[in-house]
Amino acid sequence: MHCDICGKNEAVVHYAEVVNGKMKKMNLCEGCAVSKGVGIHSTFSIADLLGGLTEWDKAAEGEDLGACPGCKTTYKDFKKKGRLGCPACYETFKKSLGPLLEAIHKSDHHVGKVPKKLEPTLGCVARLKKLRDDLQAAIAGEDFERAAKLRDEIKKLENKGQ
Amino acid sequence: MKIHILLSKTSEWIQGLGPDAEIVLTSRIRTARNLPDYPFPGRATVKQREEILRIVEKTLSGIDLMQGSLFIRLNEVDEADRQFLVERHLISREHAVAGAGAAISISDLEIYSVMINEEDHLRIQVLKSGFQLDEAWDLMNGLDDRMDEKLGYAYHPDWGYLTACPTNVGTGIRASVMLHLPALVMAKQINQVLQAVIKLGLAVRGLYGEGTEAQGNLFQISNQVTLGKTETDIIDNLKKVIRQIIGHEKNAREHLLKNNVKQLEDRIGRSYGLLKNAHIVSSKEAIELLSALRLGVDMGLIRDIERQTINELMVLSQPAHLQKASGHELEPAGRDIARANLIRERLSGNA
Repeated sequence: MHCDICGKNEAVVHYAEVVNGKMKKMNLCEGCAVSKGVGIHSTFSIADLLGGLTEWDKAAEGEDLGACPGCKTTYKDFKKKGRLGCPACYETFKKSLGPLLEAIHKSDHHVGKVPKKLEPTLGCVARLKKLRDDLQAAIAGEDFERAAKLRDEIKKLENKGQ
Repeated sequence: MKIHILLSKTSEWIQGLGPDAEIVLTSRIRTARNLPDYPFPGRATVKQREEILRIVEKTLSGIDLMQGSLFIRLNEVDEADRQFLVERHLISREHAVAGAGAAISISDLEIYSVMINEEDHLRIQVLKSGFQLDEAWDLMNGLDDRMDEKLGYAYHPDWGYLTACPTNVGTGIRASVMLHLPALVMAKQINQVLQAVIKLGLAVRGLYGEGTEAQGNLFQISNQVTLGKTETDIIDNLKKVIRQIIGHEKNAREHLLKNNVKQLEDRIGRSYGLLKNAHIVSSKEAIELLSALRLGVDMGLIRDIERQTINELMVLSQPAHLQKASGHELEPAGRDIARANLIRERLSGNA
């Protein structure tokens, strides 16, 4: 059996990974397995991961967002490599990353750990206030799907605080 | 060489202790973290990566939990040493080839480790023996707080900890357990169980042999989603699923004892016999035979071997470990002989 990537060498690593309910099977030679980073810790690239997601196409609108001022990464670079260039890329590509995060995580809001230094401004109380404001805005804008999600998140946070 | 120290030391997980250690080998928490003012390693220049390395090294040297830890710059060791660290689950394959500025800090007993300049500036890992995800998270949280205090991680109010790959953003957490599930494989129930796990949004990984069986009946199960859930929710969700799988594996083991005890004893006894007497053993054969032997020990069918001995053999019989122990490079054929020698010696108590 030949390697699925180079097609030349004998495949010695038989790899299967399940991502989002889909089984990917690959037969790789040693060299390609290493360069692909196949191992117990590894994952395939995000481009592979998102191959089946239609949201990826929607997210492609980000190509007109220009380069990140922090690191000069363009949205095209991101799409090709599956990796952002620097922390500032998240702001730069916000418009397109939102739907992408929603597709990957079924959420676009962090509710976990807050750095100690930011606790006074971003801790539970501050976050609850922001979410409630967002909820009012969503209701006013008749975006009921978003309102329902925000309500869930508020509930989660309230439970956490108890 | 510094790395040689690890060869004679035992990692905490190898002791094979902790709750449900007869099924759960390890509990692992890994977080992805970044410094706010530098490009991610994949985009950073060599100079920037070196700077990041220096900043992190200085920070770690001032943290109580990392006192006495081993700090290794990966470009200062050879490929065999990097492979050795991969086999020990201390660095990833990607990290082994990451180049400038890549380094690893390893605490005593290998409970804490910090990969520097992998895909993110920091990949912090806590590794515990047995089913101890909560304990692992508590340790992680403590180290994470100490490092954040000095480094001030890249963090966004809406998206949490910012990471090079959007699949890690938010909590940046990957919680995983390594399970030994031989009875479910023998009972042909494993696919059913794993399919159910996948439907719950968790990831299952293993290095697969030619069929669908993972090598050595070892399966790693981890969370996938990192955003929109708290760390505790992510860990609790994983724990619930793992508890169920442990229950299924226990039932399958009991069923084997009740209905197929002779076949089971035969399989385990033959594996033990082969391991004690073979002179050439490939890595794939070793992991399969050790899996059967481990099942025998964990079910009380074999009483003269400790679980720790099997864990040690699983680690020490890997290619780079064999070469490190022998002190020189070994061809695959030579490794198979060295592996057989090691296993024979350890199992006859002469090591």
